[in-house]
Amino acid sequence: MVVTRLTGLAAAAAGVLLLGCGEGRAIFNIDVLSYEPGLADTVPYVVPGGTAITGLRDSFSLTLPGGLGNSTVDSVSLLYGSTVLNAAGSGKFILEVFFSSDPSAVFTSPVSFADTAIVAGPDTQVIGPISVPLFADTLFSQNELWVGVRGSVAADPGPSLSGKVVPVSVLRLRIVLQDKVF
Amino acid sequence: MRHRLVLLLSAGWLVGLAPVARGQLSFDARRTGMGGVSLSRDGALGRFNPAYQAVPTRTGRSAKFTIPIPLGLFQVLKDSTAFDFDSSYFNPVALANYILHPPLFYEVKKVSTPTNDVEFTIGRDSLIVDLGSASQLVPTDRFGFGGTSRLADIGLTIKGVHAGVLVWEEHDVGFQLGDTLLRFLREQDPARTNTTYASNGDGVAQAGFAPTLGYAGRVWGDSTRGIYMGAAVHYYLGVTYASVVGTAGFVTSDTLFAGSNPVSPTVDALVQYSKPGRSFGHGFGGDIGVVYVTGPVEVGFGINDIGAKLTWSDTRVERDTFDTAANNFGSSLVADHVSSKTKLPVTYVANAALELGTNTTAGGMILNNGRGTTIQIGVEQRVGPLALRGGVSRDQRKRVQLGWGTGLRFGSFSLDVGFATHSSSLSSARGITMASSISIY
Repeated sequence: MVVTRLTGLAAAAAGVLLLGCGEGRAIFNIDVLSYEPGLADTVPYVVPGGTAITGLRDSFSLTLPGGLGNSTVDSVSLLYGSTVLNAAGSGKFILEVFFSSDPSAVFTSPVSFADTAIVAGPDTQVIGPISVPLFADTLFSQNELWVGVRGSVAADPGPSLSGKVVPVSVLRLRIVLQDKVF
Repeated sequence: MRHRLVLLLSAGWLVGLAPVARGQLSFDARRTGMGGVSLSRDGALGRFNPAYQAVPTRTGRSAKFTIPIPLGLFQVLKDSTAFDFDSSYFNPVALANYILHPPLFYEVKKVSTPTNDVEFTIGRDSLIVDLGSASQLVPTDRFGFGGTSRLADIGLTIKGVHAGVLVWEEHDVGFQLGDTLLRFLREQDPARTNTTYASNGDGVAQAGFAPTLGYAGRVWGDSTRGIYMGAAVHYYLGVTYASVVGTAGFVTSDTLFAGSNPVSPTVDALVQYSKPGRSFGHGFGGDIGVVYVTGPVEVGFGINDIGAKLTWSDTRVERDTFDTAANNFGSSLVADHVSSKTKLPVTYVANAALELGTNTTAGGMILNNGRGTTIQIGVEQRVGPLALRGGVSRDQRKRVQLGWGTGLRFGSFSLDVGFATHSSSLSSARGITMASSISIY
């Protein structure tokens, strides 16, 4: 578990600058991957037929600018992408991304998204990059946001599934708030 | 909550403006329609040129008093959602604009307040802020406000000699963003590591009273052609004052958004003050003025608060800083019961007026109150009960403004309307104010 804090400068900037936007919205484009660049490292996998493994499980926090707790979350979208370089066997790679305000319950949070790449034999499958809407939960206006990333590989019955995966090649959040700093 | 705020603002404006209006701003729509010029030997002329105390008022032109029609206050109440902290329409920019341009009169054309989106691009080691059109609100030069007011002048005048006591106050507040913070806010310059983002600020406020002895009278000529002079000496007694000079901002560390404390606030201010109850500040100052009148022509020049420097013998000096470790503001005593000095800005006014003999009167005025020079030129044409007015001015921000208006005179009453452009807002855009007033002659 890695703790990364997004404080100070953004908080100060947001606190001051939101004063200038009146009825306008505050839009945060957050490069989540830059906080955990190891998610983009290539991970090899060998999975016996008919079984599944969790090759990646990581969570970390972002501390969002303060004073936005009263703001209304207008919309949230997630841009994600990953690449599977399968060498042999067939199965699927599942990428799951979770968001929570509770670090002990990140991977059970209902605010999550999952996508799957199905591979068969020597194959390269790319997930995304694609932007998907997330539930505009109030947790996105809170100071601290926990992000969980889980990558799983499941082999079909039969030969082992092997290859490499770049679990996360892009991971960005776009949070749109109807700002209300008081 | 909303109405309470509006009431507070209204009360603040009225208290703040009442003395100022007599001298610099005007509740008189006639002046508004002439770019701020007064052709009736009142307003700024009487305030800043003591010789005008002796110059007879122009027959039929000087009103006994003028009552403003405060249509702007209704407009503020109508728009008060923008001041409601609990409303999503709360707009501090609109609030700031109302403070900078008190809305006594109706705004025909409001200065628009940006309501665009503000976009933050954030990464572990990057932060870019795009304020959109709101970035134009970020001041590039020193930004502030101030004024000197004589709140009351109580005394007796016999044969031109005036003895009394005037109540005065002076305030001046300003700040200027540092280069790094300015680029960050205005030019979408990415935030940098190990960099200070700060602004410099300063302010002073002082108030007191001043026993005054003055004289104003005609020193040469007669009522149609003469020279009038006026002078006053003030012994300033300062009841209280406070001043602050310092910087405030934040300093980034090696990485923008990593670690437990990537950004440290930085505040360093030197605060000096003398509370009521401590020894008064003391100082001398004076006003002088001269007016030359010859038939339809009139020229005047006056200076206020010459050499007005106060010495405060019982001043406390503190240094205020932000303690990063304790996460709170700290104050340390630098010195107590020490002497310090303040001064009142010197004000100059020069004016001229000309009766053209065709029911046309033109006038001009140059005023420097220590915070920039304003130039006002205006003309009035009377046609029976109707008056047509026009004017042009250059304000303290060196922007040209226009004024125009009209009025109807019914015996001892007149109803006047004046329009004026202004740039008294955060943005550089112009607004148009419609002033309306009733004068009783």
